[in-house]
Amino acid sequence: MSEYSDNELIDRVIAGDTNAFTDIVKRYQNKIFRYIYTRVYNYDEACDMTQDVFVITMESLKTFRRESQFSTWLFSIAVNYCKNYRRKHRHKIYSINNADDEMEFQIPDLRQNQEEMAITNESMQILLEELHKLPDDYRDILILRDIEGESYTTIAQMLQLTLANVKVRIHRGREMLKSRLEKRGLI
Amino acid sequence: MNHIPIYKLSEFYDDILDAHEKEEIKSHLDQCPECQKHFEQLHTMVNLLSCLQTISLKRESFALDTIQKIKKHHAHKRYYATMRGSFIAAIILLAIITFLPESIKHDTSFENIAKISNSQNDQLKLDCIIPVTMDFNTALLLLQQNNARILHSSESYIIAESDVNSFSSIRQMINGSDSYRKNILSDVAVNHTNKYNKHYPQLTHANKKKYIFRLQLR
Repeated sequence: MSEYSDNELIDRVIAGDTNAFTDIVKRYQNKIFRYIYTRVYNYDEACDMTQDVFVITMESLKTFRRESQFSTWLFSIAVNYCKNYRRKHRHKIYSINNADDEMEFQIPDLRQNQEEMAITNESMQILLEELHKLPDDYRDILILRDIEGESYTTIAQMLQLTLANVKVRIHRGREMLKSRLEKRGLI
Repeated sequence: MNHIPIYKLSEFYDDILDAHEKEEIKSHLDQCPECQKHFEQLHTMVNLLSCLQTISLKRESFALDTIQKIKKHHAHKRYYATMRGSFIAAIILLAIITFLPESIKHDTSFENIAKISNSQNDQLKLDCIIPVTMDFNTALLLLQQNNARILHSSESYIIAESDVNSFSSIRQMINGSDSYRKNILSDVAVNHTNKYNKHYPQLTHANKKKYIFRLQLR
């Protein structure tokens, strides 16, 4: 991974060094892919969409005014792209139980005692399914907060929401997901 | 005992409450098993969600493939931009070809240039051909006296342009008091124009502001 900062890499890309963009892609590809994958729940489609996000980013890199962090700006591109994609493909039916799409997870052992439930690949699939079924607004915010660990302020910038709105959505999203996971016997 | 609202538990979990509220919730959780259960469920769920951070791309060449896609995209964009530019240029050219002759219909300089270039071989551009028996200098003097404009000349002919009145007086001077149509020589012109489906110029024709004619010298 490149030791250059985001802004240094951006300067190099704007100066015509396309290879510098490879470093940007490498730095953020998994983050963007994760966000998109949890939305579309299809590996190949998520790959294509992630690439499209970087194509758009490269095209509009000159318009990045550096008022926020690059990652925030990039994520807001991904969010808007997914919204538009969803609008364009609203008739598409996503298959939830597609065996080809199953991902292998590196699961840390979170058990504090033997009675606690072991986290298995299956439980992660259930979690993904339930997360995928959440309304877009709540799913987006849970991905950013609980998967990516973004701060409330950054989330507000990324999704162009007020801080109060972010708080409300986070707690409603968590409540919704918690009750669904409870029904599935996961928590 | 009043239970802690879920949103407060969520904010407590994210550690965004002030110290006083935090203390209150902590002491409540110690005493209330129900709220404690909710909090633990929340904790488990967020831990589970954080496991999803291990989702990553399996493709090693993803970054390079993306750069290739970007390059391809740029190439397509350039191609379509060129195509669009060519298409617009073609449309503009077509519009010019279609409308320009109309718009500069009365621009005699342009018209003359176009006609002069073709006049020798393309007699259809001429309104008429008038055979005359006079020599070159006399014909030239006659045209100049009547304000006709010489467009082209050679030893055997003079191509000139004039307005209706000038053309009329030139014609009368050439043919004396006889009308042009009855004159033997003018019949040649009539025959010639008929041959090419041209109408013999009507001098009273209101729309015909200029005449281009050839004096065929003998």
